[in-house]
Amino acid sequence: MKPAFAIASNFHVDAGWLDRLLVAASEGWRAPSVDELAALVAEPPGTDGAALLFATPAHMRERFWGMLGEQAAEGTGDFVTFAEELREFLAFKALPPPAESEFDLLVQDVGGTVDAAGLWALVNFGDEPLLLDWPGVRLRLGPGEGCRIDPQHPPPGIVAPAEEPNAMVAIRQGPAAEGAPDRLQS
Amino acid sequence: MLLASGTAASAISGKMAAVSGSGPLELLVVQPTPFCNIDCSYCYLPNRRDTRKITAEVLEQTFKWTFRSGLVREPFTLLWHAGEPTVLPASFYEKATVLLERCNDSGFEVTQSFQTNATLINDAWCEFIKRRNVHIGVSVDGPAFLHDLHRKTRRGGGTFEKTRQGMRRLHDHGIDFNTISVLTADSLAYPDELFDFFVESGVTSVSFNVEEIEGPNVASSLAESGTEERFRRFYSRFLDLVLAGGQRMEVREFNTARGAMAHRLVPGFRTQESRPFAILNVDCEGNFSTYSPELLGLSGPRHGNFAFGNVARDSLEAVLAEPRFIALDDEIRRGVERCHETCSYAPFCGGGPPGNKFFENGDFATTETMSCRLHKQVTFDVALNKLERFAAGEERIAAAPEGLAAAQ
Repeated sequence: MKPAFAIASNFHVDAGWLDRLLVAASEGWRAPSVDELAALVAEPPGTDGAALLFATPAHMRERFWGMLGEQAAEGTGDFVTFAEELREFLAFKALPPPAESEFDLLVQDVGGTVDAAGLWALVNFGDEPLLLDWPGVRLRLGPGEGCRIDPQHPPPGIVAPAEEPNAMVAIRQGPAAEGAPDRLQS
Repeated sequence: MLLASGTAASAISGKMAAVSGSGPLELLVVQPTPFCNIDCSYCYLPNRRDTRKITAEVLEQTFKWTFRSGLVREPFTLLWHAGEPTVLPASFYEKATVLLERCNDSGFEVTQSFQTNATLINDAWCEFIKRRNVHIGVSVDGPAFLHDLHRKTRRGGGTFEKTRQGMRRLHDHGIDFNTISVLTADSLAYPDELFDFFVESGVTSVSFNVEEIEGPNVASSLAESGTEERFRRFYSRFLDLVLAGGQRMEVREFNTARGAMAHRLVPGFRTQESRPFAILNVDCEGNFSTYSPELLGLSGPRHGNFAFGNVARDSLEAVLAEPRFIALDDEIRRGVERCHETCSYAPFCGGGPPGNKFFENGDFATTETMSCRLHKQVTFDVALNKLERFAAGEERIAAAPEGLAAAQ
């Protein structure tokens, strides 16, 4: 099962869906046809249950990497404060995370996987695209972009295709799933 | 000889008495051309396809009229506006500057300022700006997806890329400038994106205008119910980002509110826009007006044309004595008095701009407007909240707002 896709209200993302969505082909992935794209993308007001694409502001991405740098240098990276700022930002945009949600900082090694259990949203703070795979369809999340997951259709696969480790924040409903890799602080 | 001197002194003192209720001149707005090379959806200028240009003769008459009027009693700003000023080449303004210097026998400094969409800024302009030390304000509404919603070419295309090129050229020449961004309902969801844009563009002085109901722009997207709360949340979040530190960015609306609250820098009973001839607006034909600059070139059913005279033939004394002008000034004064009687913000703002009152309420003797509620009341409320939070030691405001110590 695959979700519908939409841009979250109150967000602007630069590129169009043709640059983001791929459909399964006999060998690998290909760009969707016009009809396939129309079937995949939902338009308001029917976007409540869709996988919602959003973008984080540059100042927040800068804060993220500053926080990681502080953690690496002095062990003082304050992810709790950063997570609260991210929560406030999403709430301002009328996309508030669930009240009991938890924020996990994930550093995904090459070829590593992300546990999708309880995933409400995933935000790619890395420099490389992040690929969320559903059966037959793939969403490409660019640097600084996030996706609010349709709870009825969580992505079975989350792939970091680059040769570099990727950094992201997972927002999970309720207690974080066990085994989430490389949690720094939450 | 003594008699001659005495006569001259009497003439001057008589002129000063005649104009004593007006001025001093703070802002001279000169329209070099009504034409604008772009076509913003919210523009209040009625004749922006009109390609007339001010002549050297009219310009000289304007400067001579100004300096002989008795209004120049302190330094003032000459703003080239009310059409896109850079449609005329920088060489025109070089000659205008020479003319201004020749006509200025007041002994007071005149600062030149341009409000521009920056799309026509080239190296010649940058050289002129640096050589003459003129001030530049760039009209830009934020990143392309916001800017291009309303700031369009006549063919409907976006103008962002050309504006950005102009801003880059100014930066490349080491020219500081401030920006004015018009906020529409579309903008209010994007304070973070606007903040990012200003930081990435190296803008350190930001002003916000609201989409106003003025002249040909008879409706505003901000007039919908619920806008005040959205505006409050937008402005509060934008200020939080600025005040969180890390970037030097001045916000005009915050500085104004802070100045009023911390330093009692209040405008007095009548503001620049409601005091007769504190602002002098002159169009490209030499017709002149005063009060809100938006009034020039427009008329009202009861008031007729808001141009009160022409620099070629009408003296200030004659205009001040004209019943039509006296009636208008009285209407504006009554509006200011009612603001002071009924609005708790009036001591800080000095009363709403007459132009907004006229275009929104149809009468200068009225009080509150949408523009007041958003641009004055909300910005004051939010600034007060930030200053109180800072005073209470809340950690989100990392940078002490300048002048706060005086407020505590």
